[in-house]
Amino acid sequence: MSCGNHHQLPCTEVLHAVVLYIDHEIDNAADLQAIELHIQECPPCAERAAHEALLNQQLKGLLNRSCREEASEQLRSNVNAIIRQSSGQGYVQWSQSISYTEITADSFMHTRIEIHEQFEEEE
Amino acid sequence: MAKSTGPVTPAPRAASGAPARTDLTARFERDALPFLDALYSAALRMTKNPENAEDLVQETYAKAFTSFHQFTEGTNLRAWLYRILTTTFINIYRKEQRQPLIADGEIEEWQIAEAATHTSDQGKSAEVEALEQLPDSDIKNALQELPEEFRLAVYFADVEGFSYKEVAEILNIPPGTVMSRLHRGRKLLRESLADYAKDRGYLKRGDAR
Repeated sequence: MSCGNHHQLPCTEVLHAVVLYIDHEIDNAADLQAIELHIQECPPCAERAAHEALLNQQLKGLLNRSCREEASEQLRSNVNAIIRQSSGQGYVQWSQSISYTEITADSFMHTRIEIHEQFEEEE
Repeated sequence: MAKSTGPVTPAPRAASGAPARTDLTARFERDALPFLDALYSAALRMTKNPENAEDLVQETYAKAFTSFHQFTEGTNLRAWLYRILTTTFINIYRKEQRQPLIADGEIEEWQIAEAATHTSDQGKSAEVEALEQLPDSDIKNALQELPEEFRLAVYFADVEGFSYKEVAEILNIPPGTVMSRLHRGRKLLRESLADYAKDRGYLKRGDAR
């Protein structure tokens, strides 16, 4: 596979590495330099890299736009309470137990998971 | 019908020599609490429902706080917290599904075959425009529907911006596996988003693969 021109680094190798290149995951300076040089002198590979970069950037943008959630005030105060209790005077024993209940009805199986947490302060 | 109950992770804190407890608490509150929204966002992508996500976050903070004295200040706290979140999630919510849906080795070949061609990407620009119009709910759903191993790799790399190496540490998998899951996950997600766009009429069937 080639764009018809001779490069020190063949197109196939560049194309294999193009996503790594876009993700800034090529640590080796010589490899990085070779890829950048290739991209400068090979329009098809440059186009491919630009296109991959665009797609990546868009996906990141869409995900960041839609996946940012805000913790509820309840959660915030629960977490604060956990820290306060845990850091309270005296040592804290944190224990957790999980119980599973499986209910089989016809062909359905429901699994119920309960988590019980306990904070016990010991003086 | 089965019911089993038992303590799973008793985590008693070291009961001696905690010289600067208030300092530790203050440092934890200052450094770890700002990640609450971010951890909750990740938890929601993991558990898929707000109630379980809140439980998961609370438990993560409880565990993080009890082991905070072991955390080396100056190292990557954010990655450390996500590692605890992920481990907790896997331990509690994922007992029953240990098998990855696609063996990691299977991924490389098609990926290489696909990457190693100079394809012209016309038609993709229509897709780029169409995806831009999708409502947030579609994007969340598409991500939600992604198999977990891909979903988490994409989430940590593309939402949280972690490097492959950091994602590898958080998920406790080799960096090469991160790479294949991430690349495959992005591709699956894009395809799914394109389907949403087609359903909404933003993209004509046949416009994109």
